[in-house]
Amino acid sequence: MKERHRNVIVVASFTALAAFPLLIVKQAELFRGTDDQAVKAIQTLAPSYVPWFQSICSTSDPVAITLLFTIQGAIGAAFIAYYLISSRRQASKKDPQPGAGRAY
Amino acid sequence: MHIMEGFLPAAHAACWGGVSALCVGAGLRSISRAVKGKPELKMLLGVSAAFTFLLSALKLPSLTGSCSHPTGTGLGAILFGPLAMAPIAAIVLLFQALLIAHGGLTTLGANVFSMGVAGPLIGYGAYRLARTIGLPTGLSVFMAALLADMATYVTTSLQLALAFPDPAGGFAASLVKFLGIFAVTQIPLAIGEGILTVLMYSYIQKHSGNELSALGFIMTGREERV
Repeated sequence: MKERHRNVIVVASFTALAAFPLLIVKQAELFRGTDDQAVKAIQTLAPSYVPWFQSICSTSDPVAITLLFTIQGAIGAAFIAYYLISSRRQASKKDPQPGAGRAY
Repeated sequence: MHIMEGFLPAAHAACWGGVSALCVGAGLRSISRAVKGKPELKMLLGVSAAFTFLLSALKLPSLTGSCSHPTGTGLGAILFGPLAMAPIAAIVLLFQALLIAHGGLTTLGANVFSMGVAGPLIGYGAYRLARTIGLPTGLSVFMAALLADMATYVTTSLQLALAFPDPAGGFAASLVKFLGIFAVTQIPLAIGEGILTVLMYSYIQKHSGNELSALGFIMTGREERV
């Protein structure tokens, strides 16, 4: 199997895996984070427990949180893109295509 | 896998904080040893950190109707060893605790332990075992990433069950409850993380063979062998 075909299959598999739950779980409001569910479970197991420290970050706006997660992801994606481009350039310098030499 | 701010008793938070601080220190030494005299490895280290940054920012839905994050620590654990991921996870989790209110400063130690120590340790062990018994590289990488991800969330469940045992069923009943929240949701996400890690690793194998050799991987052509 060609590498490009394999990569397309891999990316399609990941996309299908991520999208499948959206198709079969009909109630969109169900997609709550596991962190929040854990907090609810703690409150059930130990109703008298009171968190002894509050988050110093006051961001509770879902749009702002989504934006900050996007920034975090973008930082990672930008560095990986830089690596992909620079490693390809290096490889093409080391191993030039036949007939790709400079014409005089 | 973020235990929210203040949701661990102070004694537990202090214990996990101490253990994680030691692991982060050991991780910094491990990274320093790995890149000493080999500046070309800094790019791969950056890629490992960036992969963790990117994947841990993805909030993906799961078949359970919940959503959660991959961790992205399997790749770095394979390349630089499990200790190297502790400082990287600490940076990611500090970013999320300070800016996004995911996790927290008091629970940073517990979260670093699950994501930056336990997960990478299991992932690295799985990779070495898989390669030793002769499994193909792609399958070994897939297993390592999947198990690193799952181990992170199982560890979080253990940490919470230790802190909040069920009044009737004790530690075991509490563990089952937290595993039901974290681990079951995580299965499809861990499979997805395995797929993406294989894709990234195969690219690294193809384009950064010299760097992999410098890390001690035995390269035959463009394939890595144990």
